[in-house]
Amino acid sequence: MRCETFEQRMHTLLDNRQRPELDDQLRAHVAVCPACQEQLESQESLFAGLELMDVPESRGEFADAVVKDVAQGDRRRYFQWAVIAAAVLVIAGLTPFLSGTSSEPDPSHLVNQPADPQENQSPITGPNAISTPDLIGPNKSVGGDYLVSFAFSQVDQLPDSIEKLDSVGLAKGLRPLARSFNSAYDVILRAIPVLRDDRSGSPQAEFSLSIGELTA
Amino acid sequence: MTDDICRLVQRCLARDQLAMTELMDRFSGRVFGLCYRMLGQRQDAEDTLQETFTRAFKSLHHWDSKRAFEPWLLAIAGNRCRTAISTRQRRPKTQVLVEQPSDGSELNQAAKMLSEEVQRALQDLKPDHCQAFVFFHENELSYFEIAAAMDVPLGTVKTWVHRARKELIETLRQRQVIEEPLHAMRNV
Repeated sequence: MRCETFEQRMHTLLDNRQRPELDDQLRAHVAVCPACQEQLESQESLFAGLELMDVPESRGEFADAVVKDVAQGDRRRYFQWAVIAAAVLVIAGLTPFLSGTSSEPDPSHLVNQPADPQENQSPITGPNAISTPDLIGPNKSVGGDYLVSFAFSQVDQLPDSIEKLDSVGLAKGLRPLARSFNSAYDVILRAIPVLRDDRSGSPQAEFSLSIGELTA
Repeated sequence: MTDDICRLVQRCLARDQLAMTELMDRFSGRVFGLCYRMLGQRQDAEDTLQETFTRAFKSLHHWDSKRAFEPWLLAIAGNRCRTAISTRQRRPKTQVLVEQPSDGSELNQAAKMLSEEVQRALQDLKPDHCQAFVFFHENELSYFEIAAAMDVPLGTVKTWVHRARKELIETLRQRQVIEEPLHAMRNV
Protein backbone atom coordinates (compact mmCIF):
# COMPACT_ATOMS: atom_id res chain seq x y z
CA MET A 1 0.00 0.00 0.00
CA ARG A 2 1.26 3.47 -0.86
CA CYS A 3 1.18 6.27 1.74
CA GLU A 4 -1.44 8.28 -0.25
CA THR A 5 -3.69 5.23 -0.36
CA PHE A 6 -3.15 4.77 3.36
CA GLU A 7 -4.32 8.32 4.07
CA GLN A 8 -7.36 7.99 1.81
CA ARG A 9 -8.38 4.71 3.42
CA MET A 10 -7.92 6.17 6.89
CA HIS A 11 -10.26 9.08 6.09
CA THR A 12 -12.78 6.72 4.49
CA LEU A 13 -12.86 4.63 7.64
CA LEU A 14 -13.24 7.73 9.80
CA ASP A 15 -16.07 8.94 7.55
CA ASN A 16 -17.78 5.59 8.18
CA ARG A 17 -17.23 6.03 11.91
CA GLN A 18 -14.85 3.08 12.03
CA ARG A 19 -11.58 2.91 13.92
CA PRO A 20 -8.63 2.93 11.50
CA GLU A 21 -6.25 1.33 13.98
CA LEU A 22 -8.35 -1.84 13.80
CA ASP A 23 -8.14 -2.13 10.02
CA ASP A 24 -5.89 -4.98 8.85
CA GLN A 25 -4.64 -3.25 5.70
CA LEU A 26 -3.65 -0.13 7.56
CA ARG A 27 -1.99 -2.10 10.29
CA ALA A 28 0.02 -4.00 7.71
CA HIS A 29 1.18 -0.72 6.16
CA VAL A 30 2.12 0.99 9.42
CA ALA A 31 4.20 -2.00 10.36
CA VAL A 32 6.60 -1.03 7.57
CA CYS A 33 6.03 2.77 7.39
CA PRO A 34 6.93 4.76 10.49
CA ALA A 35 5.63 8.03 9.02
CA CYS A 36 2.16 6.59 8.48
CA GLN A 37 2.36 5.01 11.90
CA GLU A 38 2.86 8.48 13.35
CA GLN A 39 -0.14 9.72 11.41
CA LEU A 40 -2.32 6.89 12.66
CA GLU A 41 -1.22 7.48 16.22
CA SER A 42 -1.96 11.19 15.89
CA GLN A 43 -5.51 10.39 14.80
CA GLU A 44 -5.83 8.02 17.74
CA SER A 45 -4.66 10.74 20.12
CA LEU A 46 -7.12 13.24 18.66
CA PHE A 47 -10.07 10.93 19.06
CA ALA A 48 -8.94 9.87 22.51
CA GLY A 49 -8.90 13.55 23.45
CA LEU A 50 -12.38 14.02 21.98
CA GLU A 51 -13.72 11.11 23.97
CA LEU A 52 -12.18 12.45 27.15
CA MET A 53 -13.73 15.85 26.71
CA ASP A 54 -16.69 16.34 28.98
CA VAL A 55 -19.50 18.73 28.31
CA PRO A 56 -20.69 20.43 31.48
CA GLU A 57 -24.39 20.39 32.19
CA SER A 58 -26.21 23.57 31.35
CA ARG A 59 -27.68 25.22 34.42
CA GLY A 60 -31.18 24.78 33.02
CA GLU A 61 -32.33 28.25 34.07
CA PHE A 62 -32.65 29.32 30.49
CA ALA A 63 -36.00 27.64 29.82
CA ASP A 64 -38.09 30.19 31.72
CA ALA A 65 -36.24 33.03 30.04
CA VAL A 66 -36.90 31.49 26.61
CA VAL A 67 -40.63 31.07 27.28
CA LYS A 68 -40.78 34.66 28.50
CA ASP A 69 -38.84 35.96 25.47
CA VAL A 70 -41.10 34.13 23.03
CA ALA A 71 -44.26 35.42 24.74
CA GLN A 72 -42.90 38.98 24.68
CA GLY A 73 -41.99 38.59 21.03
CA ASP A 74 -45.54 37.45 20.23
CA ARG A 75 -47.04 40.43 22.07
CA ARG A 76 -44.68 42.78 20.25
CA ARG A 77 -45.69 41.27 16.93
CA TYR A 78 -49.42 41.67 17.71
CA PHE A 79 -48.78 45.27 18.75
CA GLN A 80 -46.91 45.96 15.49
CA TRP A 81 -49.82 44.58 13.50
CA ALA A 82 -52.25 46.70 15.51
CA VAL A 83 -50.17 49.82 14.82
CA ILE A 84 -50.02 49.00 11.12
CA ALA A 85 -53.79 48.43 11.02
CA ALA A 86 -54.42 51.73 12.83
CA ALA A 87 -52.06 53.56 10.45
CA VAL A 88 -53.90 52.11 7.46
CA LEU A 89 -57.24 53.21 8.90
CA VAL A 90 -55.96 56.75 9.56
CA ILE A 91 -54.49 57.00 6.07
CA ALA A 92 -57.73 55.72 4.58
CA GLY A 93 -59.65 58.30 6.61
CA LEU A 94 -57.37 61.16 5.58
CA THR A 95 -57.21 60.25 1.91
CA PRO A 96 -60.29 62.35 0.95
CA PHE A 97 -58.74 65.48 2.51
CA LEU A 98 -55.31 64.89 1.07
CA SER A 99 -56.65 64.29 -2.41
CA GLY A 100 -58.96 67.32 -2.16
CA THR A 101 -56.39 69.82 -0.94
CA SER A 102 -53.44 68.65 -2.98
CA SER A 103 -54.79 69.80 -6.38
CA GLU A 104 -54.44 73.54 -6.39
CA PRO A 105 -56.49 75.16 -9.15
CA ASP A 106 -54.63 77.11 -11.79
CA PRO A 107 -56.20 80.59 -11.67
CA SER A 108 -55.39 81.30 -15.34
CA HIS A 109 -57.71 78.48 -16.39
CA LEU A 110 -60.45 79.84 -14.24
CA VAL A 111 -60.04 83.31 -15.72
CA ASN A 112 -60.31 81.89 -19.23
CA GLN A 113 -63.49 79.98 -18.49
CA PRO A 114 -66.47 81.17 -20.47
CA ALA A 115 -68.92 83.22 -18.51
CA ASP A 116 -71.95 81.47 -19.94
CA PRO A 117 -73.16 78.96 -17.35
CA GLN A 118 -74.59 76.77 -20.09
CA GLU A 119 -71.13 76.55 -21.66
CA ASN A 120 -69.78 75.59 -18.27
CA GLN A 121 -72.25 72.83 -17.90
CA SER A 122 -71.58 71.45 -21.34
CA PRO A 123 -69.46 68.35 -21.25
CA ILE A 124 -68.06 69.03 -24.73
CA THR A 125 -66.17 72.28 -25.10
CA GLY A 126 -62.70 73.57 -25.82
CA PRO A 127 -60.22 73.44 -28.64
CA ASN A 128 -58.20 70.53 -27.21
CA ALA A 129 -61.21 68.30 -26.86
CA ILE A 130 -61.04 64.63 -27.64
CA SER A 131 -63.58 63.63 -30.21
CA THR A 132 -66.25 61.18 -29.09
CA PRO A 133 -68.68 61.09 -32.00
CA ASP A 134 -70.57 57.99 -30.88
CA LEU A 135 -71.67 59.61 -27.68
CA ILE A 136 -72.04 63.27 -28.43
CA GLY A 137 -72.21 63.80 -32.13
CA PRO A 138 -69.79 64.61 -34.91
CA ASN A 139 -69.02 68.21 -33.93
CA LYS A 140 -68.88 67.75 -30.21
CA SER A 141 -66.18 66.30 -28.07
CA VAL A 142 -65.38 65.62 -24.45
CA GLY A 143 -62.82 68.34 -23.83
CA GLY A 144 -59.79 68.25 -21.56
CA ASP A 145 -60.67 71.85 -20.68
CA TYR A 146 -64.07 70.74 -19.56
CA LEU A 147 -62.60 68.04 -17.34
CA VAL A 148 -60.21 70.56 -15.80
CA SER A 149 -62.94 73.12 -15.22
CA PHE A 150 -65.20 70.44 -13.80
CA ALA A 151 -62.48 69.39 -11.42
CA PHE A 152 -61.93 73.02 -10.37
CA SER A 153 -65.61 73.50 -9.78
CA GLN A 154 -65.43 70.52 -7.42
CA VAL A 155 -62.35 71.97 -5.74
CA ASP A 156 -64.22 75.24 -5.27
CA GLN A 157 -66.81 73.35 -3.35
CA LEU A 158 -64.15 71.86 -1.07
CA PRO A 159 -63.10 73.81 2.02
CA ASP A 160 -60.66 76.60 1.12
CA SER A 161 -58.69 75.97 4.27
CA ILE A 162 -58.24 73.23 6.73
CA GLU A 163 -60.25 75.24 9.22
CA LYS A 164 -63.39 74.20 7.40
CA LEU A 165 -62.55 70.55 7.40
CA ASP A 166 -65.05 69.68 10.07
CA SER A 167 -67.82 71.65 8.44
CA VAL A 168 -67.93 69.42 5.36
CA GLY A 169 -69.66 66.13 5.41
CA LEU A 170 -67.24 64.11 7.50
CA ALA A 171 -68.02 60.92 9.24
CA LYS A 172 -68.66 61.71 12.88
CA GLY A 173 -65.71 59.61 13.96
CA LEU A 174 -63.33 61.71 11.87
CA ARG A 175 -64.41 65.12 13.15
CA PRO A 176 -62.24 65.11 16.28
CA LEU A 177 -59.32 64.04 14.12
CA ALA A 178 -59.95 66.90 11.70
CA ARG A 179 -60.17 69.37 14.60
CA SER A 180 -56.88 68.12 16.00
CA PHE A 181 -55.32 68.45 12.58
CA ASN A 182 -56.72 71.96 12.30
CA SER A 183 -55.30 72.99 15.69
CA ALA A 184 -51.89 71.55 14.82
CA TYR A 185 -51.93 73.44 11.54
CA ASP A 186 -52.75 76.68 13.39
CA VAL A 187 -49.92 76.17 15.84
CA ILE A 188 -47.44 75.51 13.03
CA LEU A 189 -48.50 78.62 11.14
CA ARG A 190 -48.17 80.81 14.20
CA ALA A 191 -44.80 79.32 15.10
CA ILE A 192 -43.24 80.39 11.79
CA PRO A 193 -42.57 84.15 11.98
CA VAL A 194 -42.20 84.59 8.19
CA LEU A 195 -45.55 83.07 7.43
CA ARG A 196 -47.90 85.44 9.06
CA ASP A 197 -51.25 83.84 9.53
CA ASP A 198 -53.87 86.53 9.24
CA ARG A 199 -56.83 84.23 9.03
CA SER A 200 -57.88 85.07 12.55
CA GLY A 201 -56.67 86.74 15.71
CA SER A 202 -54.59 85.14 18.36
CA PRO A 203 -55.64 81.63 19.36
CA GLN A 204 -58.65 81.65 21.58
CA ALA A 205 -60.01 79.04 23.88
CA GLU A 206 -63.43 77.83 22.85
CA PHE A 207 -64.89 79.15 26.10
CA SER A 208 -63.35 81.24 28.82
CA LEU A 209 -63.97 81.95 32.41
CA SER A 210 -63.09 85.20 34.05
CA ILE A 211 -60.77 85.26 37.00
CA GLY A 212 -63.68 86.33 39.12
CA GLU A 213 -65.68 83.31 38.10
CA LEU A 214 -62.77 81.04 38.85
CA THR A 215 -62.17 82.46 42.28
CA ALA A 216 -65.85 82.62 43.16
CA MET B 1 -40.04 9.49 17.33
CA THR B 2 -40.75 11.76 14.35
CA ASP B 3 -44.50 11.76 15.02
CA ASP B 4 -43.77 12.42 18.63
CA ILE B 5 -41.64 15.43 17.70
CA CYS B 6 -44.28 16.63 15.23
CA ARG B 7 -46.96 16.59 17.92
CA LEU B 8 -44.65 18.37 20.32
CA VAL B 9 -43.86 21.00 17.71
CA GLN B 10 -47.56 21.49 16.98
CA ARG B 11 -48.17 22.13 20.66
CA CYS B 12 -45.23 24.54 20.74
CA LEU B 13 -46.71 26.39 17.78
CA ALA B 14 -49.87 26.81 19.85
CA ARG B 15 -47.59 28.31 22.51
CA ASP B 16 -48.16 25.50 24.99
CA GLN B 17 -45.53 26.31 27.60
CA LEU B 18 -45.30 22.74 28.88
CA ALA B 19 -44.54 21.52 25.37
CA MET B 20 -41.91 24.21 24.95
CA THR B 21 -40.24 23.16 28.19
CA GLU B 22 -40.41 19.50 27.14
CA LEU B 23 -38.80 20.26 23.78
CA MET B 24 -36.02 22.20 25.48
CA ASP B 25 -35.45 19.40 28.00
CA ARG B 26 -35.16 16.93 25.18
CA PHE B 27 -32.66 18.81 23.04
CA SER B 28 -30.86 21.21 25.35
CA GLY B 29 -28.05 18.74 26.11
CA ARG B 30 -27.12 18.28 22.44
CA VAL B 31 -27.48 21.97 21.66
CA PHE B 32 -25.45 22.97 24.69
CA GLY B 33 -22.78 20.43 23.74
CA LEU B 34 -22.41 21.98 20.29
CA CYS B 35 -22.33 25.51 21.73
CA TYR B 36 -19.76 24.55 24.33
CA ARG B 37 -17.55 22.82 21.76
CA MET B 38 -17.65 25.76 19.40
CA LEU B 39 -17.32 28.52 22.00
CA GLY B 40 -15.30 26.84 24.74
CA GLN B 41 -16.92 28.81 27.56
CA ARG B 42 -19.88 27.90 29.69
CA GLN B 43 -21.32 31.40 29.93
CA ASP B 44 -21.15 32.04 26.19
CA ALA B 45 -22.54 28.57 25.53
CA GLU B 46 -25.49 29.17 27.86
CA ASP B 47 -26.26 32.53 26.29
CA THR B 48 -26.17 30.94 22.86
CA LEU B 49 -28.32 28.04 24.04
CA GLN B 50 -30.99 30.51 25.14
CA GLU B 51 -30.77 32.46 21.90
CA THR B 52 -31.00 29.24 19.91
CA PHE B 53 -34.24 28.11 21.52
CA THR B 54 -35.76 31.59 21.41
CA ARG B 55 -35.01 31.81 17.70
CA ALA B 56 -36.15 28.24 17.09
CA PHE B 57 -39.56 28.85 18.71
CA LYS B 58 -40.00 32.06 16.76
CA SER B 59 -39.31 30.34 13.45
CA LEU B 60 -40.79 26.96 14.28
CA HIS B 61 -43.38 27.34 11.53
CA HIS B 62 -40.49 27.27 9.00
CA TRP B 63 -39.47 23.76 10.03
CA ASP B 64 -40.33 21.16 7.38
CA SER B 65 -41.84 18.22 9.24
CA LYS B 66 -40.59 15.86 6.50
CA ARG B 67 -37.06 16.53 7.64
CA ALA B 68 -35.38 15.64 10.91
CA PHE B 69 -35.85 18.16 13.67
CA GLU B 70 -32.49 17.88 15.37
CA PRO B 71 -30.27 18.92 12.43
CA TRP B 72 -32.58 21.90 11.88
CA LEU B 73 -32.22 22.92 15.52
CA LEU B 74 -28.47 22.30 15.55
CA ALA B 75 -28.12 24.40 12.41
CA ILE B 76 -29.70 27.32 14.27
CA ALA B 77 -27.33 26.70 17.17
CA GLY B 78 -24.35 26.59 14.81
CA ASN B 79 -25.36 29.88 13.22
CA ARG B 80 -25.76 31.51 16.63
CA CYS B 81 -22.32 30.20 17.63
CA ARG B 82 -20.73 31.62 14.50
CA THR B 83 -22.36 34.96 15.23
CA ALA B 84 -21.06 34.79 18.80
CA ILE B 85 -17.56 33.97 17.54
CA SER B 86 -17.55 36.90 15.10
CA THR B 87 -18.82 39.22 17.86
CA ARG B 88 -16.09 37.95 20.13
CA GLN B 89 -13.48 38.61 17.43
CA ARG B 90 -14.62 42.23 17.12
CA ARG B 91 -14.10 42.77 20.83
CA PRO B 92 -10.64 43.67 22.16
CA LYS B 93 -8.46 40.57 22.16
CA THR B 94 -8.50 38.64 25.38
CA GLN B 95 -7.27 35.18 26.08
CA VAL B 96 -10.16 32.75 25.90
CA LEU B 97 -9.71 30.36 28.73
CA VAL B 98 -11.10 26.98 27.93
CA GLU B 99 -13.06 25.83 30.90
CA GLN B 100 -12.92 22.23 31.85
CA PRO B 101 -15.54 20.93 34.24
CA SER B 102 -13.96 20.22 37.60
CA ASP B 103 -16.14 17.32 38.56
CA GLY B 104 -13.47 15.47 40.50
CA SER B 105 -13.14 12.83 37.80
CA GLU B 106 -10.35 10.27 37.87
CA LEU B 107 -8.75 11.40 34.65
CA ASN B 108 -5.03 11.44 34.99
CA GLN B 109 -3.12 14.59 34.35
CA ALA B 110 -2.03 13.65 30.81
CA ALA B 111 -5.52 12.72 29.69
CA LYS B 112 -6.94 15.89 31.20
CA MET B 113 -4.33 17.97 29.45
CA LEU B 114 -5.06 16.21 26.15
CA SER B 115 -8.78 16.90 26.39
CA GLU B 116 -8.12 20.56 27.27
CA GLU B 117 -5.78 20.93 24.34
CA VAL B 118 -8.26 19.38 21.93
CA GLN B 119 -10.96 21.76 23.17
CA ARG B 120 -8.57 24.67 22.72
CA ALA B 121 -7.56 23.47 19.26
CA LEU B 122 -11.25 23.39 18.29
CA GLN B 123 -11.41 27.12 19.06
CA ASP B 124 -8.60 27.73 16.57
CA LEU B 125 -10.50 26.13 13.69
CA LYS B 126 -12.56 28.18 11.27
CA PRO B 127 -16.12 28.28 12.60
CA ASP B 128 -17.46 26.41 9.54
CA HIS B 129 -14.89 23.66 9.89
CA CYS B 130 -15.45 23.42 13.61
CA GLN B 131 -19.23 23.23 13.19
CA ALA B 132 -18.98 20.52 10.54
CA PHE B 133 -16.48 18.55 12.64
CA VAL B 134 -18.60 18.71 15.80
CA PHE B 135 -21.76 17.88 13.84
CA PHE B 136 -20.07 14.80 12.43
CA HIS B 137 -17.99 13.49 15.31
CA GLU B 138 -19.95 14.69 18.33
CA ASN B 139 -23.55 14.99 17.22
CA GLU B 140 -23.13 12.06 14.84
CA LEU B 141 -25.07 13.66 12.02
CA SER B 142 -24.58 12.17 8.56
CA TYR B 143 -22.83 14.14 5.85
CA PHE B 144 -26.18 14.55 4.10
CA GLU B 145 -27.76 16.01 7.22
CA ILE B 146 -24.82 18.35 7.76
CA ALA B 147 -24.93 19.51 4.14
CA ALA B 148 -28.65 20.23 4.47
CA ALA B 149 -28.25 21.93 7.84
CA MET B 150 -25.35 24.12 6.76
CA ASP B 151 -26.75 24.67 3.27
CA VAL B 152 -23.55 23.68 1.49
CA PRO B 153 -22.74 20.87 -0.97
CA LEU B 154 -21.93 17.41 0.35
CA GLY B 155 -18.37 17.58 -0.98
CA THR B 156 -17.76 20.81 0.87
CA VAL B 157 -18.82 19.23 4.16
CA LYS B 158 -16.47 16.29 3.63
CA THR B 159 -13.62 18.65 2.80
CA TRP B 160 -14.32 20.73 5.90
CA VAL B 161 -14.36 17.69 8.18
CA HIS B 162 -11.14 16.30 6.66
CA ARG B 163 -9.43 19.68 6.96
CA ALA B 164 -10.64 20.04 10.54
CA ARG B 165 -9.05 16.70 11.44
CA LYS B 166 -5.76 17.67 9.81
CA GLU B 167 -5.71 21.13 11.36
CA LEU B 168 -6.52 19.76 14.80
CA ILE B 169 -3.63 17.32 14.59
CA GLU B 170 -1.35 20.06 13.31
CA THR B 171 -2.32 22.33 16.21
CA LEU B 172 -1.77 19.55 18.72
CA ARG B 173 1.65 18.93 17.23
CA GLN B 174 2.58 22.59 17.37
CA ARG B 175 1.67 22.60 21.04
CA GLN B 176 3.68 19.45 21.45
CA VAL B 177 0.73 17.55 22.76
CA ILE B 178 1.44 14.84 20.23
CA GLU B 179 4.75 14.04 18.61
CA GLU B 180 6.00 15.45 15.34
CA PRO B 181 5.62 12.97 12.51
CA LEU B 182 8.84 11.26 11.56
CA HIS B 183 8.81 12.41 7.93
CA ALA B 184 8.44 16.01 9.04
CA MET B 185 11.35 15.64 11.44
CA ARG B 186 13.46 14.11 8.68
CA ASN B 187 12.82 17.18 6.52
CA VAL B 188 14.30 19.49 9.15
